[in-house]
Amino acid sequence: MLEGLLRAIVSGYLGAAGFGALLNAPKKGILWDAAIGSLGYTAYWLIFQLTGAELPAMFVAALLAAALGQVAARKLHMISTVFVTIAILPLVPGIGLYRAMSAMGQGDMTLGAKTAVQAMSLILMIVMGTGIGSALFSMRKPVDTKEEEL
Amino acid sequence: MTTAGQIKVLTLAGRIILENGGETYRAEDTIFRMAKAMGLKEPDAFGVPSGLFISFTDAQGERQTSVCRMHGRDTDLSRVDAVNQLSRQLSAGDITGDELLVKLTELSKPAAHSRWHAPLTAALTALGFALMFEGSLWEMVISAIAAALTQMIPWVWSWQHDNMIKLVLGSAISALLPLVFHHITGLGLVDAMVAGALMPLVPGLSMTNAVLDVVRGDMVSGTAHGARALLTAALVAGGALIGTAVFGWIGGVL
Repeated sequence: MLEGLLRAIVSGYLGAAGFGALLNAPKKGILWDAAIGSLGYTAYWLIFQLTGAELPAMFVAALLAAALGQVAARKLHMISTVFVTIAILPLVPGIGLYRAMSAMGQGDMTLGAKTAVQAMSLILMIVMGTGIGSALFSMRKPVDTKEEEL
Repeated sequence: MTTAGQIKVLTLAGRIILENGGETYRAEDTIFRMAKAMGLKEPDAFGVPSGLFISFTDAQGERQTSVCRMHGRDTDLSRVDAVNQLSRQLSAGDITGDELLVKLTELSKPAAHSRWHAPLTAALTALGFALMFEGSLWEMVISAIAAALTQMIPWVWSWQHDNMIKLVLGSAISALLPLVFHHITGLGLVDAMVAGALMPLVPGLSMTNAVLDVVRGDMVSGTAHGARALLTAALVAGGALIGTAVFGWIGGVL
């Protein structure tokens, strides 16, 4: 359990930090969004290990990552894209997608379709978690464009 | 500041945001805030991932409109953030419109990143994900090498659709290299190596932009970003399938 937890923390951090650098995120934001990415992935891993419920674990982790990303953007006076995008990337079920594609490539369509549906369900949870987390903790209020009528 | 200068400021700000991975709502929002800070009347902006329309009423009471087509698309979030910071400074009165124009012009020039930036950062990303997928030293090393090679493709293939070529060829390399390595040495978990190497190609930014644009009610841009994410994912999957098929043709056994 402890080894798995450490692996989740370190790998989530490295993966998010790498993505941050790859997407040319501002330098002062990379350490923070890697920490949020690591926290999000560790939350997913812990909830999944403790409950066995993968979809809710992914939803909660994405919600947490998006919410923390929005809060960090507000505190550090930076754009939320930097934090939210990079924080949720460690959650993308890359290995599930690869296994689905690999099974289909070997002609096992049943296994491929089953694995693909599982992976897509996880992605759907990420989308929902990100959307709700961002909507609840959005950094900027929309500007009032109706103050002057044409 | 002249009307032409004001149009240029707003257009440049929107262009930099849209061409460097920013959301459409952010471009529109920033343009609106900048226009208000410059004292322009009745400003309006409409953006889609491939274009930008800006209107405002100038000091003479004439309606000015600018249409701007977005051509290239890169990913440089630090530029998007820089435009956001400039918008804040303008709103706070810390810089003038003329100073803003100079800074935005500077920001719109091609970035001076090292040639090794993309390969090294992709290697770091792949290394982290190989570890996440239960990999150990070999998986991390091979994933990192495959991911770095993928980012080097534009070095030798500089073509109009080089991003598409990079995705297909890169994902093929990301699948083929770990398979060949495992076939020859018997070392490493193939799943962890391939999935780790493919992760830097995942269209995470498009996916997030799609969600954030839809959350803000911009269905057109959200749908466009979503379509881009799906197409990118399909290209990556197709490339990995090609890599797997090539491995089979050269005598490898899965």
